[in-house]
Amino acid sequence: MGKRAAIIGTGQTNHCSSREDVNEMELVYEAATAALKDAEMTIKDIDAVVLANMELFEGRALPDMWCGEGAGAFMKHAFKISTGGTSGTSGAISGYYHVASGLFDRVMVVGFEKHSEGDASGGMALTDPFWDRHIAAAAIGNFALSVSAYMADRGVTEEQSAKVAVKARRNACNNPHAHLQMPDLTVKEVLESPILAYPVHRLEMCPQSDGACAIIFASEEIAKKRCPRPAWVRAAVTRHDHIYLGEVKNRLSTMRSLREAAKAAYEIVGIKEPLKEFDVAEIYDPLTYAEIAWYEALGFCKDGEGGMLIDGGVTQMDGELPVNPSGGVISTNPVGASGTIRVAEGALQIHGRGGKRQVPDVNLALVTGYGVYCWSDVLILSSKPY
Amino acid sequence: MRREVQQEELLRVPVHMKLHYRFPAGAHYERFFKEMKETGRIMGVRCPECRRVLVPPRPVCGECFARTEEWVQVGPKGTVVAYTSICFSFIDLTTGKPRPIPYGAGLIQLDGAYSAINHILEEGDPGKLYIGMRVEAVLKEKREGNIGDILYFKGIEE
Amino acid sequence: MNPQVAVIGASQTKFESDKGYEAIIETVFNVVLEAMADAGVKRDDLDSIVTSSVDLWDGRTASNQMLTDVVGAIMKPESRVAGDGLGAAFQGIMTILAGVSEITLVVSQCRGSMGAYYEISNWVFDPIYQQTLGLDYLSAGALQANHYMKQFGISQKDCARVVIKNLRDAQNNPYAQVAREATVDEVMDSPMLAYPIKEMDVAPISDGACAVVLASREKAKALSKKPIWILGAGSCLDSHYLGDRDLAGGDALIRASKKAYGMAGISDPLEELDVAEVSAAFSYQELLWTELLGFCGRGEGAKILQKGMTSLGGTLPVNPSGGMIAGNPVTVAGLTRLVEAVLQVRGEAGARQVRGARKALAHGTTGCCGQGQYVMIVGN
Repeated sequence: MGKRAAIIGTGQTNHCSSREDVNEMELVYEAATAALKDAEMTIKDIDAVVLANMELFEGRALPDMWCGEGAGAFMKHAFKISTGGTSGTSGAISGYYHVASGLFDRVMVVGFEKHSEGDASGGMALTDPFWDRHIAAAAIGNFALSVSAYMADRGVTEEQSAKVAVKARRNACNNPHAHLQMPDLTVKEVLESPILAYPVHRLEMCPQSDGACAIIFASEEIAKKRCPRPAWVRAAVTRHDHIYLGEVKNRLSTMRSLREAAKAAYEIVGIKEPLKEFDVAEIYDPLTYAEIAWYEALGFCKDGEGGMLIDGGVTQMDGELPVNPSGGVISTNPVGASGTIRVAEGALQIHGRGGKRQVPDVNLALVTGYGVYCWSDVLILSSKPY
Repeated sequence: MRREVQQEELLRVPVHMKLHYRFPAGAHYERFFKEMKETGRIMGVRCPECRRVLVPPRPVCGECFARTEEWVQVGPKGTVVAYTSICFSFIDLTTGKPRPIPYGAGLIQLDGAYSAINHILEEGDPGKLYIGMRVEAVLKEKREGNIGDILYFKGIEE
Repeated sequence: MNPQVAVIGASQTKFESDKGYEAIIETVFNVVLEAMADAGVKRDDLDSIVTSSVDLWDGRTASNQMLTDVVGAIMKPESRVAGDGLGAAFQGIMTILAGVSEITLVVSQCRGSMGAYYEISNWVFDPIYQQTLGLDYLSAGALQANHYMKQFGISQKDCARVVIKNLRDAQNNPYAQVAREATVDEVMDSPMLAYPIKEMDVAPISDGACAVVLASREKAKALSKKPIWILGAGSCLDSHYLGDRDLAGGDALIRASKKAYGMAGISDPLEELDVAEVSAAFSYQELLWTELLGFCGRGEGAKILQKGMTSLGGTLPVNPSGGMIAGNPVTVAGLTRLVEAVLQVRGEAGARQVRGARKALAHGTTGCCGQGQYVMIVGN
């Protein structure tokens, strides 16, 4: 078995549509310094740095070469993980491996993206050159396709989807870092926002944000010494699936990579009733419908009952299992950082440093990442090391 | 924290990116496009282990980690398994210009195939599209050997 | 401490200037099957997969997505290190030490022929100062070459001898792209690209892939007759701005190698290592890296080469495969060095075999002028 590892500090930038006041390296620096401050450390305490980013969105090759400086990687072990939307969670999982392997004791992971600097839609359309480029419509069109199948299969309604958007943007108001904060948003407004790709409305999709997020992992000895309430990594699981859209029919309904990853992670920790056992969940919701589908894939309810969870307020801040108190990806989405933010927000809840978005008495947090249409990461964080 | 600065004082460095790539298609795509160009037939490959017919054809069935060598004709008729109508302007990477909106797009399961393919639907009105709708591929007269040789899928009565 | 991770399978493709006759996924599938056959494992045995590739060189976003099927990653954990393949091996080692994997496949692929190698390398530099000045790997390499050569009195002919050694030795390597007898005059007469770097001083642009199978101690002992153990590993990132670095020195490589030597219990690398495979994209870099790796004193890289100490049959043969001068598929280079090091220690390096090799060093770099450095020591 590997060594125990915990998250002892997190830091985020203020995320928004365009952080023109800083360059990409400075953005990384902002998150890194915030995390160091949170962990009461200096950069000298850090042994290794893992970066996470989708370089094509800004048109950089090996952006870790430049932005690594911002993360304080100078004269340290460093590399970058890039796996689409899961980059941020996979980067965090790599950070966990760094410590669990025993090779490093204090590791910083920084996810970052500066969408305003490039053409993310064009970047995302750069998939299979022989097929998708002629006919694809970036992430939104591809999502819309699976939404149509999911709605037909499970009977999820437009209103239920819109309720997810309302929950997310209201929760975001409690998160000073969130991009889209809409305290007065209503279901009607969501459904009256322009349709991007039928049946998906603008306010049901994630935005494109500029932002960075840093996490500090530490070995058991250091975590116990430095952090009053470390967020221990109890499980970190990745599952990948096919890349051809048509290969995974009913993608949202089945989402087997998330189901399998969750199953494996639950087994490691011994989770039987996720809805009851988890105190909070930060899940990667690229659009509203996906959040409902993930409720089902993660076993919060039976298949076909995801809509009822949102109707019943079960996943609201005061519900049985608050999902995305941060506002989630549909409120804030710097892609390379989106997964890192999920992990940071999960850890923050255990640290008890969630401010206005703090859920009371969090001992067990579920975190997921999502990328390249059907890849999944699942992490389970706990206030107890075992 | 966000730095206080006036918009007009911001220095921006414009960089235009222009890179050229040549993607090797490999034997499977080569045969698929050649067949479509010359005969108008849509071809898939059958996995020797799970027996699923995969479109687009590819050298390896990821599920079984097995090489695929048996070619099978599929379509041109098929069934819509998912659909949308794209309503936002989007740069067509093959022309560099925005594609006229709205347009229909779908996942179409061709008759005889396991996998569905994503392609354009002639019908762009979501009210007239439905899952289970029967469609047929409409091919270009002068085909060039790329996926654009299928213009779109049109609804059919059966 | 007993080494905990072993390489139990290794394979590489022939490096070619244009593998346009097959798709990337075909190349990768073949190299993966070979590595798995070499290791005696099946797809079901793989617990984890790590790939290395870079979107800009692949011309597509999250470019590892095209590999999911062919690296056997369906419903398995795959992660990608977007950089040199030796970095991916690092992550692979950590999956095993962290106890989440007993067998990990590490794969690296790149097609230099597909895009514009040097234009893309311009996009590595920060967009505000250096990129707009038009720096790329070649022009930056020339700056480093001058700095290093001036400081230590290295001549262009000294560098030419690196080319001659590597091209000659590459004739023993069936995977090499370029291999032949050459002369100092020929190198000196080849067209000047960026002073003092001439056409023959530069690694060619290549297509290729390679793969290794890593295993935990228990699995390696159960599965493999010839497990090659990872004895030490170190890595280090230097500063990005060229002007901030000592281009003729390089603390990053010194630190990375010291870490690896420390783990492997090596105090005198020249004596204790039997062979070294280093990632030198330019002839001068082989001299510089051998110095920073501690094979000789500063400025003595050319001297030990001229004495034949780094040739096949010398005290410490460097790049008996021909190194990157014989083939250079960008991100694949570092992992190829590991594959070669493994073959040497197994005694399976064919005509390029260093007699009785027991400990070997593999070196990889990422970014410009060796900004990122990886060092691994393997042994039997």
